[in-house]
Amino acid sequence: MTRKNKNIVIIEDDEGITRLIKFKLVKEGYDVKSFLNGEKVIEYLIRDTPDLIISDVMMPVIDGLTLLKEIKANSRISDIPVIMLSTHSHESAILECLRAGAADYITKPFSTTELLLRIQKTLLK
Amino acid sequence: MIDIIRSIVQYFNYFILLYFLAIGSIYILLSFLSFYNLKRYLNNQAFKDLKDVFKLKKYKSISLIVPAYNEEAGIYTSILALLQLEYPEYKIIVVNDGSKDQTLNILKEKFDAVAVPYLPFDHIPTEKVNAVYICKNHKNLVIVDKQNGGKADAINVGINISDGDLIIVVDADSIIERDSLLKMSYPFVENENVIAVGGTVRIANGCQINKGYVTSVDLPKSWLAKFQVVEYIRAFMFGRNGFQIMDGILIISGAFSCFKRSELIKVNGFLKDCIGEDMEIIVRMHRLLRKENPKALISFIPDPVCWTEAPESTKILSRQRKRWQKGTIVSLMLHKQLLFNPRYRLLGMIVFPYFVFFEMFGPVIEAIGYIIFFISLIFGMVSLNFALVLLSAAILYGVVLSLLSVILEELTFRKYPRTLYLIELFVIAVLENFGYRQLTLWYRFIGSLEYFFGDRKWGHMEKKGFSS
Amino acid sequence: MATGYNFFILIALFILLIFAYFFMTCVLTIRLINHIRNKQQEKFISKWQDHIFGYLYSNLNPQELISRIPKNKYKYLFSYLRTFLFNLKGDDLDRLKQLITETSLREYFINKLNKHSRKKQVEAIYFLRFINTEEVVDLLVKTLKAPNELIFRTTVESLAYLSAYKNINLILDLSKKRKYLTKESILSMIIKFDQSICPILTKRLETEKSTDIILVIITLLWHFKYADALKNILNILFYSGNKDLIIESIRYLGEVENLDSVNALRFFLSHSKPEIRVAAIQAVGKIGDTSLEENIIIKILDPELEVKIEAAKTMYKFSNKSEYKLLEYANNPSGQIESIIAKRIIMEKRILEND
Repeated sequence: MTRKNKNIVIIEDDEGITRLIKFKLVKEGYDVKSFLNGEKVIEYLIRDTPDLIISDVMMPVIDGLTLLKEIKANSRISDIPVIMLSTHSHESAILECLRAGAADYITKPFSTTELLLRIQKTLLK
Repeated sequence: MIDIIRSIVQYFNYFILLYFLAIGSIYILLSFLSFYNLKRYLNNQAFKDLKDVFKLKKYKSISLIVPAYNEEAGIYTSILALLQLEYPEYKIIVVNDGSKDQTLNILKEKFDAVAVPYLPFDHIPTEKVNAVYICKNHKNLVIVDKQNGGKADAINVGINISDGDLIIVVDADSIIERDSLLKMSYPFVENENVIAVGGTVRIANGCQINKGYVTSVDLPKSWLAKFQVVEYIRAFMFGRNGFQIMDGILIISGAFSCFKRSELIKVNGFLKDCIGEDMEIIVRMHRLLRKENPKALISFIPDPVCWTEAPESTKILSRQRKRWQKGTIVSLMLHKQLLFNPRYRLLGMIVFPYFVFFEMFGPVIEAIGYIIFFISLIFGMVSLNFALVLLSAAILYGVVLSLLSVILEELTFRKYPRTLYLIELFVIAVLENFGYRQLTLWYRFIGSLEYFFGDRKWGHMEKKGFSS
Repeated sequence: MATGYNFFILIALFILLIFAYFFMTCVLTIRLINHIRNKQQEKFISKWQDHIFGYLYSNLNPQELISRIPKNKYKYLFSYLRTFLFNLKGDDLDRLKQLITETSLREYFINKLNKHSRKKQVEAIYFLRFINTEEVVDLLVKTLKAPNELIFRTTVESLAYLSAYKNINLILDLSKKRKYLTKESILSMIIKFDQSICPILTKRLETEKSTDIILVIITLLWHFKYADALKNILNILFYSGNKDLIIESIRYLGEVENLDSVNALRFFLSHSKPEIRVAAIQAVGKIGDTSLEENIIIKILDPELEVKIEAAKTMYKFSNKSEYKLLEYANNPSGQIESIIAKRIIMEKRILEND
């Protein structure tokens, strides 16, 4: 297993949540980088292609769905799986993200254990 | 004869002095009420989880109506930003009011619009609708093209087409905070008697704006805009918050306002060809709906939810203020039954009379006061000392109020992050009373004259459009 | 006389200066206090974050962590905990709750309930919702009696979080007595409970007199899709002349598939009030019972525009026959209103569903 080298990017506007996920993932041996919103993320992704992205849906400036669409539209990074993480638990919102190419959709409140398992599962694909 | 004139002038000057004392005292009273209201609001908000709405099946559906007339400069950015607001589900209805520029084409092109047959809802009679478009990539965006008929008419078309429980009317150049729909819909969720809600508007000039969001709050460079920053803080902190306690919200800013759709239809929508249709609708809703349901409530949330562009030239400012003054007069005159009408309780007995005496006639009284005052000064009818007392009393009140509002701002929302700005706001709050206030007073005076002696037409505000 | 005026001006100027100075100091002090508070919060987070996260993923005794945090830092702790209490679930949340339930914080909040400051009381009520014991529920039930709106509301929400459904009757009784509460505000509080309240609510329908409360109850039963209330609701539907009650009941029927509800809907499809017809069509669309297909198809010819549109929306994908009929209308070039509606609905559905 080369799990130690897996890179994960978190895009989430709540710093507390970001820090918690980071704490958990670093403990599990991932390298984690975080952004407060979707701005400048694309440039970073092209420069430093990570293995997985976790993104909030509702964020200032560039929201999760727009970001997701931009990622999927860019052939250089469209292969990176994106897991959406949002308070928005309505079916229509979830479907919209999954249709736009999200690998998975987790609703808040969430459990970090569940998040970790879904990350592992997504990375295995 | 001279003696009689002299004593009339003398008495008039005393009257003006009294007027200033009265208005000052009212404001001081309002400031206490506002303080109470703000505290109550913030305590109420402290342990509320606004995002709970995302977990519930039941929430109020919202239709945002964006009337657009010659908005090609900023419409694309504005709509993009509006598409990213935080709310479970909402619809945006852009109504192109027969623009003469590329507004419609930009919308059609950028959002991949497809024309669909128009369902002829006619809850409110309006100008003809040319076409309705829906957008493949933005399922909650509807574009309507109609014959020019003015802002009120454009909004009415939006009301006819919309299907939300709540209607939010947004100016195309307003910048909306992302959680504003959550905040604005809350009063409706908590009380079915709420028929309309307004929020606090702030000045966007000088702020850093990125993709239709305010990313950093700064003060504008232009002095005219700086004065308006303090003026807006004062108007919203004191006026609205204070009147809220008395159930007497008579003005909701047209830049961003929220209504119950069913009630809007009941009062037949916005009044076409009316100057200041945003104020008129509120007064009319008070008059008609409180007759029907005495508990009907027009509410206000003190949160800054909307940022708007303030005019930076005296030419446009004068046009804007004249228009506002005319709008105030029209709205008050159309619904004068409210005056001292005990059925409307505090609104009829205190707030409405206040608006009539101090907002409608205020500029006239004050302006005439200034004129007579200087005349009598020149002719030596009053002593220089009396003059100075009068002036310093007026200015003193003004300064104290402006300063108080800056304090309230700092106590509550703290939108201005840098301490240097705070000091600057303070200086502006003092300086505002030497010139700027008199200037706006003058514009309002002219507006009143124009209303009573003829020219009642709209002034169009020139738009710069925000950079994207 | 002149000196009198001069004196007044001096006084005025003096007051102005005093005020300006005083206000300036006020604002700067407020700013300073807030600045310090923010810094303290940041400091608190940077110092304790790893301890709290570490605690979450270990077997550390919660009291051990809490006793190390000084009491004067509690307010930072609470505001920090709130984010996670709101956003986490499962093991993470349970572990987090232990910080409140199995430590001295429990007594701390219980004591705060008796504080005079309303703000502190509300804070205590908010955090007590994470302690699921009978003692806490009893305490909260006692605070329900407080006349203050904010305290009442927060308490109800806490009881909802604790799923203390047995108290729902008491809450409704008290809500009725409180004049400032309206139908919607009662609903917005009680909707935070879970479906365990439904049997009690259903029973209450038999005796409740207040239309507002009945409306609230029906909405709740709809929200929780509680099928066992069908009998009571059909009862209301046929014996109440109140339009709001009928519409709300019909909406409920849309969630419960049953022969009785189908028959009731068939009846209300031809009610004299258009709003009720619209509600009935929507409900039929929800349960999708094709035995009503003819009844729906005919509704596109209803005199009211709203009813026509609702019928057309429902005809789309309702059954083969209804969809065929809708297409037929759409292809009819006559320009009559039914054909416009059919065209619009089909286009809209196709464009928006196509991905």
